[in-house]
Amino acid sequence: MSFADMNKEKKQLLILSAGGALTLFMIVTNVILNPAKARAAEARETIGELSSQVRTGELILRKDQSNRKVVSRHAARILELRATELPPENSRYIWALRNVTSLAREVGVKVTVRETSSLRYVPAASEQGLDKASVPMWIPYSVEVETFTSFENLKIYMDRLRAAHPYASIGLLQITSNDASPENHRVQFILEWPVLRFVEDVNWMESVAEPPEASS
Amino acid sequence: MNHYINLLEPSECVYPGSAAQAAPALKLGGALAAAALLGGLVLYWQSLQSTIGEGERLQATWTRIEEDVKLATARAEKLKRLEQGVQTLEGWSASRYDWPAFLTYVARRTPPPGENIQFTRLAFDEIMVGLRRQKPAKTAASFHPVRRSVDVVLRGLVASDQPEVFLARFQERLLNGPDQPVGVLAVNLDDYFQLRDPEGTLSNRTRFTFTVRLEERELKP
Repeated sequence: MSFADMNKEKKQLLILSAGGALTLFMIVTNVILNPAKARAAEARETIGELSSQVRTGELILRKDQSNRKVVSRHAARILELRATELPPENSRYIWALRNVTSLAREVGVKVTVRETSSLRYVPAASEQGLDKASVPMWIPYSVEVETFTSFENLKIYMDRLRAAHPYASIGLLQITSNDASPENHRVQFILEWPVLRFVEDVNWMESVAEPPEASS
Repeated sequence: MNHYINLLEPSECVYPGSAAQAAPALKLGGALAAAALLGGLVLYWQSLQSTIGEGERLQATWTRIEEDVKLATARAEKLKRLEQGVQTLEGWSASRYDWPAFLTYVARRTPPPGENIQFTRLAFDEIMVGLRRQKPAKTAASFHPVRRSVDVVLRGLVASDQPEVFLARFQERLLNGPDQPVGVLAVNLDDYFQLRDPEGTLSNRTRFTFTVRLEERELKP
């Protein structure tokens, strides 16, 4: 039966049904589906951005458990060496002077010890915006030692320094012969120890270092 | 006026020309299509809701862990710096050159007769590559591991009628000595000058300068 064969009531019913279906479809589409589609599109974007980020983040958090322990252990190690083997923060020169001179006295060598006049590292022009990872944690603290001694005595003295100060290294050496006294030479050398470049590192390490094990 | 009385049961009624009468499959097809459309819409809706839920779940997880991740990342960076710091510190000691042994080595490697040679100067200025000249900057840099690098300058006088032969032997002995306390990479003759007597004639004394390059050492335990 074609549309033309239908009576008026059927035609009205058909048109009303089609219109109702279309209206219902439009309502469902605009009120429910489209907002949901928009939210889903946003969600897909979020998933794209965050899924790998969250996965990586969760891995970082798992790794952080062990990192905390390692940080704590390393910090404790550095603080321990700093306290026992390296020049103290506030009295480096007197510490170096005392140690270097007393060893020289033990081997019968007279020395003069002074702080080096020029820095043997590049200082920061400004700490503003500075990335600490741009430079090593350590800088050398240097003293210049001058003596007038024989080759053999010099070797003995350097041996003693090497043994007594495992973190002292000779950064510069000049041995010059002396015509007036061929057995003795003018010797200048720079002795340097590592010291922390940034004082804040000490504070941070003290805050994270594991406490020393209680003696039983 | 004509009256028609329909005595048929409703199930016996036939409507000629209606869609159901003309094509019952069409009616069924229409109903199935409507059901399929509805089902499709419901499935689509569920899939959208699932995506939205997944996004919200991820967002909530990230919001929950973001601060911790930032702290952990900062800690990991600090750990890297700290590990390098510990390595450098422990390597500081382990990488030291044994200078007394090296001085002994130089003295022992002079070709016989030893009294033909007199050292007038021995000097070096060690460079810690990655430390001494490393400039503080606003971005991280790659400098690890720091390395010790040394060129030793050895100056002296040699008394010989064939100083070039003597110095060549000395060079060879320094370079290939079996008991090197530190690897000798190269020995270069930088200065060679035959001195003259007060009368102006060439003497048998020759001034020389060798540069002895030692192997680099990394500041690592």
